[in-house]
Amino acid sequence: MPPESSDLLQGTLEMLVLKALTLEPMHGWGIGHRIGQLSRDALEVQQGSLYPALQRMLRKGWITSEWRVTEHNRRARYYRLTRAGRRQLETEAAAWARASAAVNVILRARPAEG
Amino acid sequence: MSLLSDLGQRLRALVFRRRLERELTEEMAFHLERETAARIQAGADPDRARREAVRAFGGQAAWREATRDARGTRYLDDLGRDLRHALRGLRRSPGFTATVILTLGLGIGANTAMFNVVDRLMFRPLAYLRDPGSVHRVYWQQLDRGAVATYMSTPYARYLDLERWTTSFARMAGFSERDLAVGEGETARERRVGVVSASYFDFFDARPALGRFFSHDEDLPPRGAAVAVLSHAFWQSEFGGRDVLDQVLQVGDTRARIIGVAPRGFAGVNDANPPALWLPITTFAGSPGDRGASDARLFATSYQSSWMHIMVRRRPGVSREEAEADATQALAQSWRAAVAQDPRTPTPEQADPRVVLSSVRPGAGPVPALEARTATWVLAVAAIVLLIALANVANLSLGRALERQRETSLRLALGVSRWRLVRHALAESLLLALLGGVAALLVAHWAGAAIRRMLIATAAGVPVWADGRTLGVTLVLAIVTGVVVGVVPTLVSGRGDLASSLRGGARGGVSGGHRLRGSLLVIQAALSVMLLIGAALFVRSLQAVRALPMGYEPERVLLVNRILRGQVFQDSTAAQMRRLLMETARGIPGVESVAWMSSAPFVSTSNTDLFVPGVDSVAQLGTFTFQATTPDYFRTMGTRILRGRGLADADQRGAPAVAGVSESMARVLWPTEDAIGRCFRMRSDTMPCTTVVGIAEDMVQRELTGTQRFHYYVSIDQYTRTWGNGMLVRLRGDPVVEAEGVRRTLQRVMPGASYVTVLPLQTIVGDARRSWRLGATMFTAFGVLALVVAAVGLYGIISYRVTQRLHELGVRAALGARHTDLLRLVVGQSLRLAVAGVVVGMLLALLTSRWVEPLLFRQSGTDPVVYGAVSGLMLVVAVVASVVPARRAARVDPNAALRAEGA
Repeated sequence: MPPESSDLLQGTLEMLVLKALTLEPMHGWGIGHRIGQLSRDALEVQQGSLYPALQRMLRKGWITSEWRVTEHNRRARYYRLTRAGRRQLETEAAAWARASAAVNVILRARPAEG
Repeated sequence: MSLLSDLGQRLRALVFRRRLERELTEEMAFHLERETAARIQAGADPDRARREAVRAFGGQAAWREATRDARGTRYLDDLGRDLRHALRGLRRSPGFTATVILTLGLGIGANTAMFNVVDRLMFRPLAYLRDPGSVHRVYWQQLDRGAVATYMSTPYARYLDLERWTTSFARMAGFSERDLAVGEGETARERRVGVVSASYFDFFDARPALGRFFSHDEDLPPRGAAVAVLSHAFWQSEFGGRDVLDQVLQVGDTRARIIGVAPRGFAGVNDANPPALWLPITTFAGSPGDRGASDARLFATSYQSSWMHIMVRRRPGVSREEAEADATQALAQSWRAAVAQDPRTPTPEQADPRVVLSSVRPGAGPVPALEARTATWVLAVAAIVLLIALANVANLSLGRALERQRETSLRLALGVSRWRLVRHALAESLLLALLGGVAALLVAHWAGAAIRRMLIATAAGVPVWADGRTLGVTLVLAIVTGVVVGVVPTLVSGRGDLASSLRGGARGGVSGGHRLRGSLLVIQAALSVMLLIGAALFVRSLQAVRALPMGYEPERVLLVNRILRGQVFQDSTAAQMRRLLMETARGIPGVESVAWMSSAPFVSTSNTDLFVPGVDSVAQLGTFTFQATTPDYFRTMGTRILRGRGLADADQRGAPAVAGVSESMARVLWPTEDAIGRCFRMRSDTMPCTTVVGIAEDMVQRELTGTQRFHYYVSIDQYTRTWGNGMLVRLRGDPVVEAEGVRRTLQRVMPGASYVTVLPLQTIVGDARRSWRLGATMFTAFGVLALVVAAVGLYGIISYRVTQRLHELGVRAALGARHTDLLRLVVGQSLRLAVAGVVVGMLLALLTSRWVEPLLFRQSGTDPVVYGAVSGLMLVVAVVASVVPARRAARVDPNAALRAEGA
């Protein structure tokens, strides 16, 4: 049974997909699998939302796709990061770091005494 | 992300949809395979693994939707589906579709055609004009007998004054146009020639196709250089596009050297009637022409004759008001110079002359020509016809929506969102509107050519659908139509109690819809009545104009004009030439009588200062024009001599000066005594007194609608200070047929390069009546169109109502109502609507009569006869439109009606 998965926001999912693709091009299923791996199974990608996200990112030009043959001799669609995608990843990662730091500060704050 | 590649993706998604769908399916299959394999590896059995994999994936349909959505083509997909659905629906009701497309085509088409005309006359920026916002035409205003009069023409001297004494203008140009004979010998033809200052071409971003334009030193008074610039069209048609630089061309009196050709499409300021070529303005003004050498030398300093127009470009940073004020003070100085030259000129304090800077197109300026005013009116009328057409189509749409009431309620009950229904309705009406727009372009093309010919002299020009601005307007109209016509019926029919409409079928129709249809119909009828009243008023105006006594009979008279082309005549040789021409003309078989004239009706007038003993200021009483003519004048024109005699052969130079006067002139100058025997002095106080020997009936010389008919007639042998002389020839036969023969005979006796032109007087008179003919034709055409559209609408709604009430009528018939009762019921309904429409229409006509009256001739805007006749017509049409449905109602079979549930 996979551990409790948290809902991923759309923007966050896209960021993770970009990160997953930095290593090497991958097909759709593989991306979802890799994200799960990288997060040490803490995150499970809702598969129904992965492909729409890939379509959006294709349209925005952050990734490109091509049909290739896998090692098992099956045809699959591979996605690859573009330069614009790499830049986007940097931007989003920085924004995420800032946002999460701010949220952390708020969460750690204790009510004033007295 | 770049917008372009985003768009590219969307388009690609649209075009390759099927392939993309297949790829989607393949991708999903691959995914499921891998997921299943992973689960099997984790220990599940194949079936379970497969099921769980599918479940983990989530709803396939939703996933497909989402992916498609993400592709960004969702809206286009939906639109495509809606349009296909709409097309099917329209094909199923061909009658409705055809009627709507036809109605919209006529309504939008009329507006498109009229917009095209108004645009050309008033708004379209001139081709090649640089920075049109800073360019103006100069209009002159002054007080003339208490009222403000606005003119466009001015003397050349004033142009120089304005240049000298203003600082607000970056550039000024003077221009005018004439019809001059171009070419020599057999090939000579009258053509429109533009005469322009060298600065004229600087206003435009036009580079010459060949050679160059005028240079500044080729355009200096007292006489400019003999050079010419050809228009592109003239260059192509007359010279085949060859190299014509330095060739010589005879233009009027000038042997001009061609120095350049304008680029294609360049027409200068007058693009309705583009000139064939241009001369420097000082070349034309400085040439002797028909005016006599003395005038030519003075044109740059004399303020006597106003004949040219001025165009200016404001300096950057100078507002129009500032420029106007600057020009007005320069004008005041110029006036003072004119007064110094001729003390009889009113002073600037008396006349309050001002400069008005306005649109370069006269149609949009302070004194729009007749064509521009008429065109604007007709555009307003076309807009009204469009409103009627819209009301009609909305009515038809509403009827259709009401018919489908049940289906709509069912769909709403099943959970279809209201927005979706509206979208469907919109798709259908947009489709209809676009088809209507295409039909409109066709209508505009056919009708437009005819309308343009009537209002803008040349029918040439870009066809309607190649004209970007007109296309744009058509598109906008079509879309607005579509939205209005689609939204209204759906909103209305979507209201009301769902349950009852599901149950009740046609009987449970929403009454709100009926009332709306009824009021739409009343609006249509009212607007049609208003237009028909306008049409009738114009037609009666035209009749009044035609019936106006002219004071002469122009039907069989020819006007002969001499074009001298450099032949200069002294007084004596001029008289010889005149006698020779008249003798030759008298010798032509079929000629009844011949007379000389100094000015032709509606073309020009001659006047001079008049001094009458006993009258302080003749000028205060009005404008007095004269004819220097020969004895047979009255006979040739067909004017009756009321008392005394006409001019005789004995009234030669040296004999006592005599004159004939018009009846009105006699009455106004000598109200209490007999004019015959009285005398007056022409030109100056010291001239010998001219005695009145005869009184003739009033003639229409200047304007059809003017009330002043002060004319007097002197012998040309006794008073020779006239120009622009011509001859009148009365024929026994048809002038149109015999004109060429007369011209050839007279041409044989013309010396040198001079020649004659011959024109039936009836043509000129007809032109003067043009405005009323125009108004009558346009209004009648549109009025009838409006009536037809309204009648069709009325038929539609009455017919529908009868169908709706078939059940009720059946009940009535079963209860004993007779055929006539049922007939009366239906026709009565129709009449009630029509009466309401007539009343509203008459009120509207009364309210707007104030604006229409100035365009009419001796016709009141509130003529009861006209109002009564149009009302009667509308009521008759209403009865006729309801005849067929009424007969259907009368013949209703009570059994069948009672049994049927209704549509």
